[in-house]
Amino acid sequence: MYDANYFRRFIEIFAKYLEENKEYLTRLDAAIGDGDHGINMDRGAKAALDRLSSTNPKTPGEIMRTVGMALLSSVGGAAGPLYGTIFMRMSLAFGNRDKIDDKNLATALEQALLGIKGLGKAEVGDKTMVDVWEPVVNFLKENIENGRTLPEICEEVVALAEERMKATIPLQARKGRASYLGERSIGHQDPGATSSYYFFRSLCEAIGGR
Amino acid sequence: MLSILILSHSPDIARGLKEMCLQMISGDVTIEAVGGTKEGNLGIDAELVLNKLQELMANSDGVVVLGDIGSTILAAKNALNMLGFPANVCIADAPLVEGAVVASVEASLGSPLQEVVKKAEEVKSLNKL
Repeated sequence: MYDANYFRRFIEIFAKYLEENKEYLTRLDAAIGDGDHGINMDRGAKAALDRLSSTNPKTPGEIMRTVGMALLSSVGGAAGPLYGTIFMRMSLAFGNRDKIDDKNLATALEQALLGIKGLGKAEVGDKTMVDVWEPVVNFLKENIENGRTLPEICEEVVALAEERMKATIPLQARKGRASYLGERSIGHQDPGATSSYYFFRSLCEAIGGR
Repeated sequence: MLSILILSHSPDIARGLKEMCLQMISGDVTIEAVGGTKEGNLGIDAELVLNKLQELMANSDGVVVLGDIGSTILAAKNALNMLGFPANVCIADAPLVEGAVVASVEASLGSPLQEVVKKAEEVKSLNKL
């Protein structure tokens, strides 16, 4: 079971990865987008940490909601509504539970995936964050339904997220700003898929104790 | 009375387009514009979009939302999701500048929400030459 402290730790780790990789994400985005993903996500994560410390939410659901609203207001690019939706959907799925189990978490992540697919209308293969999210969420859901625990499968989750992130390189973008580039988007790793990899890696490090 | 919500990645486009629309209208219609990030850079403040939309919903009979590229439409769709898909708000699938001008004029003539959206979307097939 994961309490509010675990989710705070998840956000702190995610924020740390976004800060460390700010330039890297921005460089990836400059190649095929508008070159602001790293700066935007870092600003968003810092705003989220600020709001967490000023409002001090008590439950996992409240934490996710606080982070979602902070990202909506501060990220600026398409990642604002997309990551905002992820955290808001997870917050709704958590409800007012004090502790979250593996099944709750898998359900919440599935709701988040449905949220971003509904918002951006992207499918696997479009060279977006969905290329990481969908296979990872399906893997998590399947394994947890089959009785494995999240700490047990954490390493596999991170490896899968990394593999799917790298698999966006040869794809041609069909959604977002990169789609305006057509074939010229081939050969670049998608920045949204990359920040999504950090998302799952952070979640696993916080929760799986990896 | 209807209202029009203009969303742009650029604060200058949002401001300028609002000005253009205000010049075109004669009747009772509220025009609001949101553009750029909190810091005034290129981007969109999705929380401000949500708040502005709620404000317009409370003070008018319906809202037509128009956006430019990418994230403005995502911000609008996100706001609609969070508000539970209110019946009196529509995102017009139209080019921003021409769509907003046509929607403003149509709304100021007293047309109902769906008609305003339809007129704005018809702009897509408008020939300029």
